Amino acid sequence: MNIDSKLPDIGTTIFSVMSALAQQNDAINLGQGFPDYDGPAYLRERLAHYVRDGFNQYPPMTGVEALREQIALKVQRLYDRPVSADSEVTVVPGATEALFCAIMATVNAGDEVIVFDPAYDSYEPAVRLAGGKTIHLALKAPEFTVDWQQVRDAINQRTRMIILNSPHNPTGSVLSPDDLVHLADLVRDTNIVLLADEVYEHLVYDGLSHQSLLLVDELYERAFVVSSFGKTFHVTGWKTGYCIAPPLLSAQLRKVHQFVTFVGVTPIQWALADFMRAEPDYCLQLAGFYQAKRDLFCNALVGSGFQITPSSGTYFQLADYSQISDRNDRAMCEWLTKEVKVAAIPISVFCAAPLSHQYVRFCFAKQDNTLLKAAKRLASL
Amino acid sequence: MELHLPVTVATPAVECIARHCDLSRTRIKQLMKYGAVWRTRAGRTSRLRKASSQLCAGDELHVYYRAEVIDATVPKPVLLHDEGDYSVWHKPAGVLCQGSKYGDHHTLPRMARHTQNADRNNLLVHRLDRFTFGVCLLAHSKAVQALLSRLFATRKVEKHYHALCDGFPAQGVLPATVDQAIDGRSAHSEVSLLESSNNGSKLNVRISSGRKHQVRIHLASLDLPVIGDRQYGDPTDQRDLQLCAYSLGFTCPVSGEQKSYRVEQALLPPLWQTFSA
Repeated sequence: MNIDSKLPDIGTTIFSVMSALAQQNDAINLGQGFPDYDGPAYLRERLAHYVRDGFNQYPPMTGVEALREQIALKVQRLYDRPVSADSEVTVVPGATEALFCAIMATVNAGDEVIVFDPAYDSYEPAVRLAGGKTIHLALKAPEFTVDWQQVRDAINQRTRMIILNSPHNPTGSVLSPDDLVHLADLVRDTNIVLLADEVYEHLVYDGLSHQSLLLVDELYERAFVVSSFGKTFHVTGWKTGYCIAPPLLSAQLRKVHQFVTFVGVTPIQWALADFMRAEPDYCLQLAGFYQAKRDLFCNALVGSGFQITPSSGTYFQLADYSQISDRNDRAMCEWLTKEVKVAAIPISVFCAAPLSHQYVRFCFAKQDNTLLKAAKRLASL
Repeated sequence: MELHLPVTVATPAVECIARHCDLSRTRIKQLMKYGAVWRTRAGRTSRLRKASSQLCAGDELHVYYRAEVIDATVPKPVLLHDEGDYSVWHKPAGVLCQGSKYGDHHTLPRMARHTQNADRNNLLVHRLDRFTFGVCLLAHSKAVQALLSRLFATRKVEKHYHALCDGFPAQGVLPATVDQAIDGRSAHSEVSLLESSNNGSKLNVRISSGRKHQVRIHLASLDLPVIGDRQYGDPTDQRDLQLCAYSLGFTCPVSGEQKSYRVEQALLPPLWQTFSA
């Protein structure tokens, strides 16, 4: 049988490749972004409860109402934006599904979508499946900031969407208030839709704050804002997230969502609603929790050959290894996994153009012992 | 008192301010309503009025408190004509056109809200000095504001001021044309005598440009300072300024109709009632 692949050049995602390699080599896996500790006990207890109590059939297509209401309360409280739980909040099985649906719902054949490299690897395939074309703009290393003049030059009649990711995976950079001002200036009076991947919204450090598109009326009115419970409650395997968008955009997103996955998992949504009601401040403690882990890991690498600028957000830390090796980053990650027994993620796989710096990405969402053990192995380099 | 508070945790604005000063919550809500509380968010600073406002991490809150500004009282503006796209008001002396960081509750756009539909947008088209009274326009959409402002900027508005002065103009002084530049920019006024009595003189000043204090400066240059003008006339004059923005005439940029608006005699201060119209 012959199949004309729609994505002929796309292999298995780098996260799966590196996780498998880590397992084969018995390496500490600081590659794929998932915690090696569990979510809150009460949250897990609520899931068990709802499974046992028969909350096991389809939920409403947009998500369990009680959860949508909790999400709306959170958005009102943290971002001062009143949103309708009915018409602006959609619960999805994983933030990646919402990203996919938002792109499918709004990008047409021939449309251009601006992404910033290094870009999370799910964006481009979705754009291509929608018939669109991805325009890659490089973030400026080593701070990985957006060059707004470059964005201005890239915008044309065909520009349909700009995908923003803050806090940014894999670089750990965050958008500043000025960035939002520039962005608003660029999209004002255009038909450009914004897709904001804000799944690390609570992981922002050093007194900085998350600059959500929800904060600004003229940005929100054209935005899909996507977040994830997996990152927030340490349950990445629950694959549950949500998308906030104005009613017109939400309606378009839901048209696609209903035929991609239709719904998320019922008892998980009930459990999340209970947990959010019981511990509305849980998300506010995350920044302190993860900043301590970041500092532990970065401090343990002081004196090693890695050059490190502490991450401003996410649970990822980039490390410049140019003083250690002149391998390319993919080879470096394989070597680190096989020889040093610490798995990392190469970031060139998230870039269309070659990088001027040599970086690997470590995930510090790990127990302190795991981080110290990994850092000890890396520090000898 | 000034407060500048960086916000690290999402908090209701009233609570945040209450924690940092001795003002009561009622007073704080009043400050917010009166425009003395500002918020910087996502690179933009704007007034925070609603008592229910929520602050987000990363916001910065600014409070500018002067009791004498908040507690001052001024007379109410009066609606003269409502044209839908814009309205025509009598601005009494004391009412401001623009607010300051200490508040804007005594500005014409804000006070107009209390006389009519509060959801209506009240946008300033031109300015009158604080102690000048008379005809002032408010636009009710940005588009109409831009159209009307353009008329003023391109000198397509027929503007007449009336001013009261002490004494009589010297023989042959009026009518006069004054072209004295103000702040280095051209200014043009035509001054004529309306009436003279034992109380003094009432002058008509037609201006095409609209420089700051133009009528006061140009009348002072003719040795006819406006009554109560301590800045350009007698510094010891304790009376109120007697300068009235008397009429505005223009072709309406929306309807194309010729429009002319003038003050209502009954709304003028007592001194003006003794002059016949």
